[in-house]
Amino acid sequence: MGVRIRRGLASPLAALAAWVLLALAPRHAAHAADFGPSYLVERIVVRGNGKTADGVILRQLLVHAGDVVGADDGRVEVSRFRVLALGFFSDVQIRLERGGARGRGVLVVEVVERGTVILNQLFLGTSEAVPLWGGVDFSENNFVGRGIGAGAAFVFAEKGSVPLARPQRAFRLRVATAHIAGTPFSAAATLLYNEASEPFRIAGRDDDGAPGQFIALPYRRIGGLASFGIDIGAYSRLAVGGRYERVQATLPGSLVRTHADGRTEAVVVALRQGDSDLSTLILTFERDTRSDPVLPLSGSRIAVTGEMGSRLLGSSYDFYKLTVQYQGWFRLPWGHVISALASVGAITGDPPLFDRYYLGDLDPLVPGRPLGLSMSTQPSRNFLGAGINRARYGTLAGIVGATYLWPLFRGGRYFYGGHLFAGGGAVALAEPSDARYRDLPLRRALPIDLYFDGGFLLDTYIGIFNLSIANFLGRLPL
Amino acid sequence: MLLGVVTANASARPSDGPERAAKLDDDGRTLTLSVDYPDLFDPVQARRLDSGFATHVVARAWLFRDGKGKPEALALRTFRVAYDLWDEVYLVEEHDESGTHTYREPKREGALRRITSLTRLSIAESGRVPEGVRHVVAVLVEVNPVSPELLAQVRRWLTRPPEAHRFTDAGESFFGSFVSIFLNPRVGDAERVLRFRTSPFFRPVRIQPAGKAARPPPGPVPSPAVGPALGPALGPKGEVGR
Repeated sequence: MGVRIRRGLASPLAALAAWVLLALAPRHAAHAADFGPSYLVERIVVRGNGKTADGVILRQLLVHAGDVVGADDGRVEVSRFRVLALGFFSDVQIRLERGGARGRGVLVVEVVERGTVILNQLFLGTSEAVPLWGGVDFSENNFVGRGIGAGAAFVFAEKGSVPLARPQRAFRLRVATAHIAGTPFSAAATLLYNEASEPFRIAGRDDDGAPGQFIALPYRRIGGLASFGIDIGAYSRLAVGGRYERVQATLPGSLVRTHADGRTEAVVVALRQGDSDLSTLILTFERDTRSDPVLPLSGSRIAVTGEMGSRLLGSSYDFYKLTVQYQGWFRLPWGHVISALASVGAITGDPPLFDRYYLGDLDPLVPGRPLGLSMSTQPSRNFLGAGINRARYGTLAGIVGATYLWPLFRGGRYFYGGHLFAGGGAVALAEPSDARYRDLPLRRALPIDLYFDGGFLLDTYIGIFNLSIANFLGRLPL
Repeated sequence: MLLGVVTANASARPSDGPERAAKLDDDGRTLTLSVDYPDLFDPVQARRLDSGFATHVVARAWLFRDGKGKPEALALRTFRVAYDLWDEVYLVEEHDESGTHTYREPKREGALRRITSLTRLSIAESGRVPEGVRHVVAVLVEVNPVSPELLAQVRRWLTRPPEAHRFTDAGESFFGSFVSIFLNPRVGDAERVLRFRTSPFFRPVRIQPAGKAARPPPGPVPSPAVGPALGPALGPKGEVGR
């Protein structure tokens, strides 16, 4: 009887043990074949793969030469889906041909290759602070036919209108491989380069996002990260990674913000003057049971990420960062879907500026950071008139929200599905000092704001289109 | 795990699909449906019957009162067919609540005929189908249906490039992009899905010969005659018009 890695294994160790058992199990074990004849597989032939190496396909098969395979053997169809799930083929068929003697067969895997260059993301926008930025993120998921993913991304931004601003640019290069040699292990590595020009407020009210109230300070990041992951059952994944960056910053002796009433306070830059090192360890656990990653109707996704920067690792920045994200989808009796979102994060110690939580990371109505570059001085909308705008970065962050999804259609030939959606929630971004010192009424001091969003999500043959209010507002200076 | 399973989300509405000619019989105990759907397989898919591996066909029939959305009854029949490479014969297995029957067909056309028709599929007990009330049967036929669980997993793999291939590293928003463009192959719930329905019909009524008891004889009745109580939607011999 064959051994399979079962869903729901409690630990990566168990997954590893199961994989070892699988590797050592006799390959002749016949799975349940209660219908039709069985065949001894003489050999396996792959056809139709002009670019993809045979080995990439053969690694996905649960049937091997020398195995006995039944006419209704479940391993065959699972193997077909495993090959299809590589994403390199538009069609995969598995069949048998007669072998050299009665009762023997040749397993034939026929594939139809498809394009594997993917445009993951388009970066394009404008703001009061940065007139225009743009870039792309693309990847080749079957690099040189070896099943290795290789990708690149870049963003260019014009010199902005913030005093002392410089043009910004960011680059990424990445390689990744899933299921190394057929194991549940994967690996990835990324190189990064950022020339950033970060705006810091030196004047004006908290809700005044005019670029003239800021000053831009340049810094550079050069480095990379590497990670190793393991699939834990069908839905969970654990990854361990390391990150190293050399950070170069040119900072003034001191940076002071002058308030309207004449008060002054030191601005926290959270970067070291000159060269500094950032070295961290990262641990990520993810459980993803969504019925569909684009238009889910049920299931949930939980991600827990912990990161530690320490002098023990040679880092100039000592900090611990923990982020927990949850989103669940619940189908309503009348077919619509409610999605609930809750994320919290906390950082202790002295993280570098770009590793702190950023308002635009949380609030969909505020422009985000394409490849880690700040493109806007726009504060939060501050619908509650609270204290959310005191800082654009924080070490405590949270978001809760809900979205109502109205599935319009599913299952078309080229338009796979479409959802109307509307939702909202609350975001919070703060520093621990916000809780300790307060000179405002509590309601106005709370670092929270509300957000809303609504629009149309379309899943098509050529890609996924998200047309929403937040997407629009995040790219235009409104 | 994946084949031969009844997909949990498979369902039908009385308005699903075009109308198709079908034959409804009533032996006094059971209402049965007979219908052909030769268009389930195109020539390419038909040739895949020769793969040496089993092809599964799952046929479901829901009985609705005309105009109502909630089914009164559900009937299921499944087929498996596999080509024996060495004996050069198609093995066909048919399974429903009455049991399992197996056949050996020397030609592909014969095997196709077996799995592309429902013959006397029991839809509901006659007593549950009141006379004088219009009904409709909605039929869903799937080739190689996939379990929702596996489907979701494959869909995740296909749609999302492995996370490691993306650049959502520290310092970047996890809120959506404007567009993500790639060839996005959809893995369907099944390799082929066919939906159709019968025309609205009244329960066929057996004409009892004069002097006979009203109780029907035991066992199936091949082709009951249709009485005058039938509504205009029924054609001769209980066949529902196209």
